[in-house]
Amino acid sequence: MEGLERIVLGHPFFAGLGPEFGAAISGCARNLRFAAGEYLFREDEPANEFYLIRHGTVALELHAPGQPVIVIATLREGDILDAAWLVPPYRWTFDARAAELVRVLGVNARCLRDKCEADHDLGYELMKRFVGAMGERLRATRLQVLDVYGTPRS
Amino acid sequence: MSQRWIWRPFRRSRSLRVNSTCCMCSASAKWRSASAAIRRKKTGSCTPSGRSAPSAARYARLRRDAVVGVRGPYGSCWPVAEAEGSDVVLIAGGLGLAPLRPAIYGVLARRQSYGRVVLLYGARGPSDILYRRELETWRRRLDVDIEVTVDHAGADWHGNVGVVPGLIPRIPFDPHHAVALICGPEIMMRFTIAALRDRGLASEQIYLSMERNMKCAVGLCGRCQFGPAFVCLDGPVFRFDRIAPVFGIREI
Repeated sequence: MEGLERIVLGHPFFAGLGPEFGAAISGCARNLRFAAGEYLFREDEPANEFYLIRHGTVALELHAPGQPVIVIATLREGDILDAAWLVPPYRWTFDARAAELVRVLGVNARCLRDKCEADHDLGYELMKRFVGAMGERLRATRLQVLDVYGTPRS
Repeated sequence: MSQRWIWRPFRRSRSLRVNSTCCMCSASAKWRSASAAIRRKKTGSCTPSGRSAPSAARYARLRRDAVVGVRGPYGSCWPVAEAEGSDVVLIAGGLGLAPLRPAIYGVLARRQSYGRVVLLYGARGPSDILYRRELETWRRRLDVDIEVTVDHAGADWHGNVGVVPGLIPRIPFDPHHAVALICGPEIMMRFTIAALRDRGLASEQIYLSMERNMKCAVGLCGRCQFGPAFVCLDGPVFRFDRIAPVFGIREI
């Protein structure tokens, strides 16, 4: 377990987190490995696990019937995979495909939610990190939606 | 203002052979300097890399101390020489790779004079990537870090999908000894500058190429006016701290 705790605290998302929180999170965590092309999860599946990428690239995909798959973002080492597990209805809103060999830290969602509920200090600490990460992703998505390279400059 | 209308001969001061297919020439005068990158094709003829003078081939054949007349835009150039000794972060978005390309060749020609060299390039989609062959050639080098990202892609694209500023937190450079050269749509540059400053880069270490349509190109008509500056005379390359006060003003 000590090794897992070191991995948890060594992930950029948990940088600076106190050791007591590290122990609590690692109690719900496990190491996972996905081969290239394998899906970590699919859209609308229950978000039972919180993933932190340790190695490799994950492509987030959207599917539309009769249309080719659209990759909306690629995430890499140090990134987290969404926060759908944190708020109801706990369902993923896109597909996540391992674009190469991917190693992630998987944290059991129910276990972590219960610990956050019991220890609001842990919950608040995590919430601040999630809001920061989600805000950053929202800003990036806005820039993507603007299609800045698509229209000629006046 | 009247000074701008005095005919001043430029002198070709430097001709730098970048590699077998490319050379860079710069012309200088006492009061201003201009540079042009000229790509020499296999046929032996020369073509300008951007919209530079159509007489580029003749220009490339000139000997030292030959007199050249340059009408304008005179403008500023990328601080390729000033950046020597530092890490160089070159960031291009969309068509912005074209104006930045001479700087990339300039840096690669004297690669040993720089620290880490990083090139970030963002495009709309995989089919919109400019200079693909050159990017692939540069990527094969072991002394340059290159990241290409696109806004949208299909599953057959194996590179990054996302915006250029998103790449900045993970690229290798020393913020205390680095110079960033940026060219792209203004909104992309704004987000990119914010990400560079988060990494600890100061405004004095950031240079941007401001694109404005030019008409007279000699600082008269004001078509390319950018705050108190004219892009044709004072730009297109500006050090960010010098334009920061007007960069965020919506009406400009």
